[in-house]
Amino acid sequence: MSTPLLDRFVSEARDLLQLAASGLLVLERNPADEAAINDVFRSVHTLKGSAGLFDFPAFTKLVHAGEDVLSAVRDGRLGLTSELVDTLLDTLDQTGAWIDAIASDGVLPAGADGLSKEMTAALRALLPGDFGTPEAEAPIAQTGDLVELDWLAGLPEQDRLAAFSAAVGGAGLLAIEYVPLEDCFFSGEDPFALLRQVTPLHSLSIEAGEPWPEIDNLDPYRCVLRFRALTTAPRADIEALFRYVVEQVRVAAVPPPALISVGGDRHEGPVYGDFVDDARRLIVAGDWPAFRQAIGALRQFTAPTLRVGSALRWLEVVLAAPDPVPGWLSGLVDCIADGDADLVLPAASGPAPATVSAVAPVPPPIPSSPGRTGLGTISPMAIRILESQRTLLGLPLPPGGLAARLDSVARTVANLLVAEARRATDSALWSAAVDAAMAQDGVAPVVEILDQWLTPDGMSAADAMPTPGDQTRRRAETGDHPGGEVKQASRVLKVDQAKVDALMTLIGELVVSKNSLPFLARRAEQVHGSREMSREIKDLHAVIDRLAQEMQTAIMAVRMLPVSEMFDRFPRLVRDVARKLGKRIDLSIEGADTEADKNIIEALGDPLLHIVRNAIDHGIETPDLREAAGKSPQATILLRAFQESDQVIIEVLDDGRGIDPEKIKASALKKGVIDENCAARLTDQEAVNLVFTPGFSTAAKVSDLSGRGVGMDVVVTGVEKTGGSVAITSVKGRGTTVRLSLPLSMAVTRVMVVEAGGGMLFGIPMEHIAETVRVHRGAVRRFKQAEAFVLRDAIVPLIRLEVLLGMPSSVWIGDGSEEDAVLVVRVGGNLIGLLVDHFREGMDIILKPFDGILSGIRGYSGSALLGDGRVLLVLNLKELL
Amino acid sequence: MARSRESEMNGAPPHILVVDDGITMRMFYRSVLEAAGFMVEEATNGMEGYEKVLAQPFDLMIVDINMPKMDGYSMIRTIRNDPAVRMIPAVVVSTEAAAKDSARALEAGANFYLVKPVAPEDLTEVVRMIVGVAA
Amino acid sequence: MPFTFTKNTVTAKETCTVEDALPLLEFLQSHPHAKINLGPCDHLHTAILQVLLAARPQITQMPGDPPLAHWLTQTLGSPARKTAK
Repeated sequence: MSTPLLDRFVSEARDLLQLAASGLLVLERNPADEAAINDVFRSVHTLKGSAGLFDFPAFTKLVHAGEDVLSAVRDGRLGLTSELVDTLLDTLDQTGAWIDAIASDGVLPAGADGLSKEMTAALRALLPGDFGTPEAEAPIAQTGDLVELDWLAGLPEQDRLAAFSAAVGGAGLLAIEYVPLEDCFFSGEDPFALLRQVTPLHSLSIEAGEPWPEIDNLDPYRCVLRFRALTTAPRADIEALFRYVVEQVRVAAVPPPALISVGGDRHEGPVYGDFVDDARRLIVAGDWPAFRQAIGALRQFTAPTLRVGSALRWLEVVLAAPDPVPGWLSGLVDCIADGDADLVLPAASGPAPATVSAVAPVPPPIPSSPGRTGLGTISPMAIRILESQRTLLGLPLPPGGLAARLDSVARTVANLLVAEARRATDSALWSAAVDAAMAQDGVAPVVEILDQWLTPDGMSAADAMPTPGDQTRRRAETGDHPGGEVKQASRVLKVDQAKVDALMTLIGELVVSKNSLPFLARRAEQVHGSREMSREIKDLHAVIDRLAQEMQTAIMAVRMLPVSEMFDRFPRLVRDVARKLGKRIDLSIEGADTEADKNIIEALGDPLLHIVRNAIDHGIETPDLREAAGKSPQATILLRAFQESDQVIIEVLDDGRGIDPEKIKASALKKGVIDENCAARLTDQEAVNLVFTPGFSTAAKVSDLSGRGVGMDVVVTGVEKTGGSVAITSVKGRGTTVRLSLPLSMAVTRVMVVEAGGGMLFGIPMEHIAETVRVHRGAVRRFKQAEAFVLRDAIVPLIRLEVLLGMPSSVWIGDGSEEDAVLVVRVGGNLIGLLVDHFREGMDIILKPFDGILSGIRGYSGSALLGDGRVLLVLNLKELL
Repeated sequence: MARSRESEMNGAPPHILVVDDGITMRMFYRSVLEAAGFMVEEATNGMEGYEKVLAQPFDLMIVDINMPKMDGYSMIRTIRNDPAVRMIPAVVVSTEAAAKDSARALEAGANFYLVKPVAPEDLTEVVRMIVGVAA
Repeated sequence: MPFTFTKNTVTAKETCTVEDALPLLEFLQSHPHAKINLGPCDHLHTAILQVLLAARPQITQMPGDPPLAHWLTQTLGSPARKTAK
């Protein structure tokens, strides 16, 4: 059976085999030709990779064996003889023959399995040493770094002697290197306590990873210590003990001789000449009892601080082993003979990396159907990808610094959250953590989140803290119900959001069609002269109208989610941030089951995060400041949601220091946001509102916790996107309240329809409209090109909508009166008069954002279809003005 | 919200760069990924891969290790040191299953490691997640 | 609180937790020549150990638990470490 992929494989294989064969011939003439061996190796390597795509195990195995042999040749572990070249060429020939068979029949010929086994064994027999048994390799480790063992010699001799004795007694010796995360104290870790649980613990060295600062600048909560230990405990015990900090721990087997090193004061060599002669003779003879006696005798006359004293102690423990190694003994004796030489142990006994097996800190087993904290149920592949990012962040930083590593991790995780359709709060939390990591130039914030996500449910700190939101959390998403409600749980239907959106669109079209009935009624009366028919149509319209509205409400209810979806994050966040800042905060949540449209919940995660962080960061004082001000040292933040007519209100109240209007004014003056005159006129509330001005921030210094000093203007932008608004009130010394007012649903937009440019209809979102007025033409003032009029003592600039939209300034089609229709709108806090031809009715519309080539057009938020088939363009005043 | 993809801006499907010296492997990637709705660009070695990354935006690169001119490690390392392109996620696909090989790939700056042969459905799933496309 | 602060000495007893690191640090900051008695102490949280390493107060007595005393002597007792990078 031939497929395009198989055809391609056959032709590639023939090319590669040809390349390999000619390369081998070059090599035979000049074995030192590095380019040739690399080419040959790569050809076979590529062939192996391609073959793996198909089900030809006999073929792949033989090519693999050939690759291993070539790898040994390339590394210089195997000499390239003519015989070897012959064998390899035979292998290539056989492979070529199989390729021919594959090309004609699509399968390997009968007997290929046996032949492959035979040839593979012959090739592997050529390999030096223990090479070529890939099955025996260590399992995939999370962190494959070899542990550098150069610190062993720095351990106290007493510890090394003890560890050595235990190791030559038969127990495997392990070196543990543990570099805790800087913020590990915040997650309740005590690395020292963990290491004290290692038994037996032969050695423990504790060092700072960086110079100590002046004692006045020490941050006691940032862990900078590094731990190194030696143990003969079984590897499994060590892995179990460190299972929660597996990323920060490296474990490696230590060959016992790596511990031997001789230290102490120098001595004159010849003095010990007799002992050295005797010792060498006894080692050759293997007479250990006599050697032990000789050592014991010399030790009595030797000061323990001398190098020779150290060497003698080592000789004793080496001899105490059941089967002393003569090479180690000779090395130590040579050291005594020389008096000054460094200890050189015979080959293969040093801490050669090759003998140090790679770490296998096996991660805790992943349950088969993993439920992850905060992330709900995600696929095993997503977990693997997240774990990989976590591992990547645990590695030492590359030369390019944090950004070189973090950028791709940030994007990978952000995309994964999108692919897995996670809640917006997760994305918000992630991007905030990425910002925080960049701001503080450390991976801790992102690592913390990943760890939290990767912790199976039931083990996380967040889960251990019940919050008011817990009762309702995640029910809407996963259909989880408390135990005992199994019956009810089975009645929950999980529906793809796209299906609900499709229903919403259909309803929108129904509303539009329904709107054409009044037109029909008018025609019935005016054109056909049937008033009765007209009334019947109007009655029918009323019925359909009611049904359509009820349907709309019902479908919108499906899209509603409890605000607990976004509140759930805050208990943990507040606790962590408060601890980092040394503040004491009690967070209470009210109205977590208040519902709002899914889109709004999702769009709100980010702004709310900023508000709460601002409150903790700038609003709440430290406990001592609070006590000095006569308040309880424990501050309170209240997160409250409730419904008020057709709006959802979310409030963040804190009892912190409040906003000082005078400080705000002073700061705004300094930054040139306002001038002296203006400052003098401002009321306190107006001054407080200045925090919404873009770029305005009152914090004296940028805190690492609120990222780069995020201003409230970011919050305003985020909330206004959903059609909501933000208000802030504050009493100096008493606290601050930030109030978000949000529409219940984003699906229906209420607009006022106006006519401009000679009969064209435009929709203007109701939330922008301050009032409609008629302005007498004589009252319009002209300043050069600009026009304005006076509205209750305020000068309001006047803009002609048709001019604004770039339409030809048509012949004036006024309504004949001496007055113009002016729509007074509020944009970014300023009043602006929009001069239009006519006001029309206000209506609810289903706004469709532009897509395709129209999506690039600015100034419009979208279009809506009217009942009479006309298209209404809805203006985006913020962009236009 | 977090910016996710290069090509999202113009509404095009995600662009994947496949870097492998094996023509069959490249064809395999192309057929699997195009069937899943991605756009695929090929490079035959690390040097060519790096040049392509500089020339046009990609959402993900899938990189082999052993290649002529410039190997996969060097290519990823070079890209990670270039602020203009270092945010592009990288998946290394190699025939080596040992722990030290995956560790080396991550050290070089890869975001994920897959062992050849890769099942088409695994490949699609990994790519889909890393470029942020829901199933 | 496991620490008892007197004029110029601190005595640590039982288990010293992470919460106790700040008071200890503040005391050592204001008493540069303070001495500390670890005799009655069973365990020092890593954060406490870190404060002791950075501040290097004179230790009058090591804990009664022999292994703990051994590791602490190695860590805190060697004057050479004072100048360690």
